Amino acid sequence: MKNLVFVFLLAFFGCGNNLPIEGDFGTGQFDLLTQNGKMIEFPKLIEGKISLVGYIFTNCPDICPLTTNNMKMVQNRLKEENIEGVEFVSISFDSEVDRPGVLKKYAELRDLDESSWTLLTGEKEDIKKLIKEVSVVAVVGDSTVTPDNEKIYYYVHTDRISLVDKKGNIRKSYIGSNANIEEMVKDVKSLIN
Amino acid sequence: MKPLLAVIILLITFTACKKEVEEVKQNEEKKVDHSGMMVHKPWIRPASTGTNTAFFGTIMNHTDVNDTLLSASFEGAEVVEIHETYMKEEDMMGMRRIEFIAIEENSAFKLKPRSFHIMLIKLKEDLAIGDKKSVTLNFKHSGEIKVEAEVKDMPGGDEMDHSHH
Ligand SMILES: [Cu+2]
Repeated sequence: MKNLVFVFLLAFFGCGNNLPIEGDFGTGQFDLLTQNGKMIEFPKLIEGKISLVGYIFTNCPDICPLTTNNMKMVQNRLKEENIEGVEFVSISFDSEVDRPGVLKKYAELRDLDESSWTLLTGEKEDIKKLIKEVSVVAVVGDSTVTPDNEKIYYYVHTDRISLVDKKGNIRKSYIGSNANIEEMVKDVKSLIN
Repeated sequence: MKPLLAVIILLITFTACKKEVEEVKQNEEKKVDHSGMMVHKPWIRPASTGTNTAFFGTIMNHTDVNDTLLSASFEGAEVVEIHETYMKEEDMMGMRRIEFIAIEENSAFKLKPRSFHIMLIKLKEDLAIGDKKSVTLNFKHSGEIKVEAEVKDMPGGDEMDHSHH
């Protein structure tokens, strides 16, 4: 009986956590641009690191800033607890609008710690393929026409933050704009060991 | 002498009346100060030039008439619209323009994250944390209500939806 309890405990705690693998970013690499205009390969960028990945577009005034802010709160919490090596990534699915400069401004205005936070954009087709790998959907919904006849599009999109382990496996998905900070911090910690 | 007396009486009456009218007027003004239509804790999310952001706050209709928010204006944006964030599927979110928001007499209506907001489109200036910006809401009955909104990243505790607590 004692042994059984031990085995049970080992199964529960020994494996570190009970976050099943939900998926990954596929087998290929995507050439993407960071907020600093640097070309990188993704998901290679986060290989060997635990990451929180959010999906955003900068013209979004409500949902995406909440998602970003929730990630920022996790980043702050980890800093407070001196936990290092966790990466934060925001992938824009509005690649035509969100060029590196736009993403840079977005990060600066929100005071994101860019030492462990990368914002990514890329070719429209690449981004499309990439988000499809993780079943994130972004389709053009409503739009507004400005006085200069410029059309601004609003996406109907998956509201998500993905928790990615060191091997690139997605271990959990959160409703990005409504994610629980404590839960994310706890899950990140569970992947560290 | 009689006509003069009449003129005097008339003048006295007129002055008295005028005073009364002014008093009523003053009282009305006081009433507006203390109640009327107002926006509690207005705030705007930070955003950079050329992008969009949203204005939030609780609209308090302290009047005895049902009112309607028809539009809003902000000098720092090219277009201002009334918007609603909506859920399409469990984790799919979208946003759309709505024509107006009805606010019943003596009631409050929250413009809040993941819900209704005033959309400030194509900003002409950067809105940085700590800035104070003036936004005008236009109501059918109450007319134009100008409010000073603070630019900040997250709402204060009161503005979060704790209604389920
Ligand atoms: Cu909107």
